[in-house]
Amino acid sequence: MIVKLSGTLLRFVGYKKEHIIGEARTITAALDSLTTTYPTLKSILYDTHGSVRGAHQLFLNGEQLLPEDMKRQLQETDCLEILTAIAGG
Amino acid sequence: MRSFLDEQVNRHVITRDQLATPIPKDIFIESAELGLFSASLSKNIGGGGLDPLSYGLLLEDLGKHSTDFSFVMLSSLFPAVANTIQETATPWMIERYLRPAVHGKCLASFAYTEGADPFSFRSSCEKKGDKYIINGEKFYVMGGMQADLFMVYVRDEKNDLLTFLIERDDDGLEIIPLTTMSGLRSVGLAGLKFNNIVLDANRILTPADGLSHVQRFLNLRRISVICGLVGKMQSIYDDLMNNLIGTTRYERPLTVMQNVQSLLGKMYVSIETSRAMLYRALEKLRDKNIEPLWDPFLTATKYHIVDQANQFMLQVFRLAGGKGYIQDQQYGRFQRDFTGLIPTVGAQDTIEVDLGVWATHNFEQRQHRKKAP
Repeated sequence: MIVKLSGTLLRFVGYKKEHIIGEARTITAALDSLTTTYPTLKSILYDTHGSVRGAHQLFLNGEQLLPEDMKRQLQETDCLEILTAIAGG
Repeated sequence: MRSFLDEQVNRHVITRDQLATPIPKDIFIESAELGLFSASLSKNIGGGGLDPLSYGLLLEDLGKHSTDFSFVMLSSLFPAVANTIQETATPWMIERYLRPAVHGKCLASFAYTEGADPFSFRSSCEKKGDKYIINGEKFYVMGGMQADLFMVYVRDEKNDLLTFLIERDDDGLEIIPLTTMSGLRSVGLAGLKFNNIVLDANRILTPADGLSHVQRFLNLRRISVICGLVGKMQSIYDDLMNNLIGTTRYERPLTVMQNVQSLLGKMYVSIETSRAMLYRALEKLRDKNIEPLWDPFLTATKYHIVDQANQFMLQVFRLAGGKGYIQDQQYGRFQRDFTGLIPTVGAQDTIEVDLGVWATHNFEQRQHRKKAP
């Protein structure tokens, strides 16, 4: 499967937009795999309770995901996108 | 309301602008007595409880009649922060900060920007026993010279952003006046320095994910900040029209000349497209039909109105000629004030990028859905 990132998050993944994740059965597993490769992404993506921060919107094959969707099963051809828009004051 | 604005706000605007004097705090107490300052605050704490659409119209009207645009900005800022505090306030915070806020006696501003993206903030909190030690610096705090309370975002040891309430009189808080800005010169812009400020846990507004908290605040603030701008564009337009009708060239009023009519037409489009977007945004807010942290339409509305307002002022100068430039100081002041909205609550260029990313993403997602079985 592929994880796509954009905007502010790119800084934490070496400015690489697309990441192929080999073995990931759930969305949580895919994100865990990504944050293992890029450890500084972890505290940016997750809050201290281990939930994805509200500033990031997750989409699976075009469908926006809710927090309860994190255990959803993935297929090899799936595309997970993370969209982050953060403004200054 | 009109006599309050004329006597207390508008009368001293030129001097305040020239000297970069912050609008006095007492003005907000009077504003609260008239019901303006507290109009958007919740009825639960004694506010007017206006819905977002009604409140937006009130701010638009304020923009029309106040000649000090800094007052318009602060009149929407302080209540916006108070409303955000109320969302997660403890009973202690409500009594200490929000009930006085209804009477204009506790002005709350927010301290966020450090001249860097939020993942690079240096301001920090360190937990020692049951206390929190705050250190760092915030660069630009609107209303910082008048505020009694600051909603402050700092990093903890786990690299999470937390929100604290810091009082003006807290030991270790240094408030530095900033007076070199080109516009909004009576807004009371300040820098803040936190030098080992010791706080109890009761000052924590959000114990985790302050990033989402501030994005939620800024999302709403992008609309309250521009309501007055639409009103101000309208009042400048009316004033300009009055001058043009009263000015004759070749024995005819300027307004019958086609080049003048063309610019007036463009300016009318600026005002009405701005107003149309604003009203739709306010309706979306009233109906709670928005993305809570970053709504593309609210963001586009802020971008459009600020962009239009700044182009509009250039057109004012093209039509007002030498009289507008030499004799009438207010056009120049408003032009400078309007530039102050370019970097505020999401800089215009950042918004362009974010909307471009969002639009591309949105298109790709729609393509994805079309292909799906």
